[in-house]
Amino acid sequence: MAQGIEHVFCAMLRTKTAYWRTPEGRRWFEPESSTACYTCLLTQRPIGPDGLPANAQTCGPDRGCFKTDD
Amino acid sequence: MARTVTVRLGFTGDTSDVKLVIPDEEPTPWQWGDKFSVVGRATPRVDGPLKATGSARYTYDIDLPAMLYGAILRSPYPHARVRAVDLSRARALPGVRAAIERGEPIVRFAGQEVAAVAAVSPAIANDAVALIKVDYEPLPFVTSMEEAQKPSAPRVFSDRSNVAAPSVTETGNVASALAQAAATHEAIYTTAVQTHVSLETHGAVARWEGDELTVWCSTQGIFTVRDDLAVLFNLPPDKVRVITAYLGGGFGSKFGAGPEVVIAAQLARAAGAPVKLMLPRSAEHLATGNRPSSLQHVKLGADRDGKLVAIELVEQGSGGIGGGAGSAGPFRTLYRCANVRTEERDIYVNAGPSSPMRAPGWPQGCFALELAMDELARKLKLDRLEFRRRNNGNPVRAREFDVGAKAFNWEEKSRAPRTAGTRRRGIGVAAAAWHAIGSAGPQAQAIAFRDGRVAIRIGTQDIGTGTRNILAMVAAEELGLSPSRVAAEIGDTRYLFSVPSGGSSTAPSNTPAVRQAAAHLREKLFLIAAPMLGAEPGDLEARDGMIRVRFEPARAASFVDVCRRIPADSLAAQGEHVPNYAGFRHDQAGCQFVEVEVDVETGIVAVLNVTAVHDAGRIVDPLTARSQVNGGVLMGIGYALFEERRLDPAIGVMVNPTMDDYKLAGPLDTPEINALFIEVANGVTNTGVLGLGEVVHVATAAAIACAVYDAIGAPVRSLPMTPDKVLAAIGRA
Repeated sequence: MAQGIEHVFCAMLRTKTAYWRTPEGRRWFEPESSTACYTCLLTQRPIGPDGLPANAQTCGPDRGCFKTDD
Repeated sequence: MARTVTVRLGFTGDTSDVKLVIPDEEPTPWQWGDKFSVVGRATPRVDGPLKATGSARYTYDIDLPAMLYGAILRSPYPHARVRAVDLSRARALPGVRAAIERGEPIVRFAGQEVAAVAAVSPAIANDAVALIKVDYEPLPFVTSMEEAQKPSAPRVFSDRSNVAAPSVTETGNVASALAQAAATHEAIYTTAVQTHVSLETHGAVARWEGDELTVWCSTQGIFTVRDDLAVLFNLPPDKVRVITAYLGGGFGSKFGAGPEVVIAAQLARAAGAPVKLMLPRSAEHLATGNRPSSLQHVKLGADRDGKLVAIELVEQGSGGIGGGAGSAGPFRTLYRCANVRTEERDIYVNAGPSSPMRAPGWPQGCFALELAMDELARKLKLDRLEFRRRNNGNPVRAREFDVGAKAFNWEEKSRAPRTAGTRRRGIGVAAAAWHAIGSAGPQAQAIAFRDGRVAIRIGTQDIGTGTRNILAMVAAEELGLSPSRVAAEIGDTRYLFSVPSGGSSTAPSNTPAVRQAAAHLREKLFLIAAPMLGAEPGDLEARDGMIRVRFEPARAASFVDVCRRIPADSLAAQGEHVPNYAGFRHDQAGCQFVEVEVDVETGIVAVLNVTAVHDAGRIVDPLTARSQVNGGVLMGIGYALFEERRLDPAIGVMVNPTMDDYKLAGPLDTPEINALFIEVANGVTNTGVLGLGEVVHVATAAAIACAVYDAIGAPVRSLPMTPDKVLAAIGRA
């Protein structure tokens, strides 16, 4: 896997690579990937609790349902 | 601390000495020319008898005292508002112990979960589901990519466009290169949605004991399911235990805690009893994932020497309400070209969501690129294999082309007459690539018991590919034992951590941890054996079930005798997969040659034989490796000829969610498969083992399409190549 880009993702966002960890211990996201399938852990579907798509492009702090890892 | 070692890496005809800096606790990576006692020898599955006799316990086989059975009510509508869910009649049915609703106000595909029940029998659970009353307000829906892109199309996600932002890459200047090319080719290629069809459906058995949750789960990632459930139920991870002793396939669709796993745990908590919830086959097709469709507009350009000068892909694909439908990987990777542009776009429709599926994006991209390569080769009047050789930039694949062409008799078959009555034969070749080097993280324990037994414990899982075999073999090699003496214990989060089984990562991620653990155990056993043999530990070796003084074979003790001196019940050592080394290469090549026969009256295609040439670093067990090739090729035949999720556009519902109506390749469709491996000592880990699960599936459908083109003289640019499409292509030829 290529090194993922470092920015803040919702703690509920899931995708295959994010089940692995970066060398720094963060979930491994590759937002540039065109084959990544995302789900929200809260819905277990590619939709957030707000009814909008769940993916690395949109699941950031500006979304009402955003959660941190804390 | 670290040390520098020099190892010989590479493959036949191309090896060199490479210096690697490795941690002190690491065994020296296996290198070119190493001799092995166990590794590389065909070894039947250690768990074969358990599977053949039905003794292997899959999640489906779990049966707990007082266990209830779960069932899920799914939306019949592709898009609807859920106004109300009335569970009262279901709850009143005798034998029903719990009923819950999902609580989502809108459903977006037919098959989405709405409510669930747990009852004392599967029949009562299904009866109870039928008693749940849901007040739906049907909403407009869209099921085709073409319709979804119209301005007036119903929106899948409220006010958001059904067309996602494109992913665009470009190197060089494709437009200019195409304008100057000596020959060009342009066409549109399409592929259908394929579902995973794992033999074991998704599901779980959940049991609560106080605030501790145990889940038997059909999953590719026991630790990922553990962590997901811990978050969802607000538990520390050590309060959740996940067990997957055996797994009936996943192909990428079983990573985290899916709806059925979460619902099983919710029902078990609500009912105060264990709940088993295994999905029926129809739900598997509707709601557990798929390989997205694709529509690929391809442009290729080449110069007079048959060198590619331009590659362009403009693609759109749909994973239903999910994304990830890109297919550009092969276009950017397989062939050398200075000017490459790719543009990929997800289109949302009201259909079940995509999920990772065996080499995501690659079989569809490889099909379009490789068939386009053949069409351009014809314009260039070049042999198709020669065209590929001229544009190949991978030295391992160059050798694989040579080995494969010879084994397949490419030249002879190219010249042979290939028409007999209504049947025409054709041959095709396609290239593959992948990148399955594994990752750091897994930790393993190696344990020797006083009676001479050895166990390897690691929290990985066997997706069905023979993981126990290769782990036992690697440990046996290190300890000088036969694999039958080593029990590989996996599939339980009580063991040390390992990564999910995805991205072809199981073998490359776990074998280095197991090898290091076994090497550490061996060193501990040498400390016990040294005084027995009057030697220094560093002078000892473990071979053939003995621990002996190197170069003095008479001074030896059996492995069992040494174990009897263990001053406790057992002796344990630990190992881990340290970060990968630079090594030789981090990528994998591969190619497949296919011969088909097409009945030009019926349009039916039969695949006669396949020669698959692959590299996966160090092949631990040729038998399990061959099984991987067989599986990848068979799935590729299904993708090429049969498999297609069919949606009724009028009602937005999948009309073939059964194994009768969703066609897979069967025994009568199975060709002769010749699996050949190019051994590569890559030194990226201490074992140099790479994964095989995905790369062996990438090229199959593409090679079949190329062979059909060769047979009938017209390309079938749409998968699956069903008889109607083949006959239409013949009509155009």
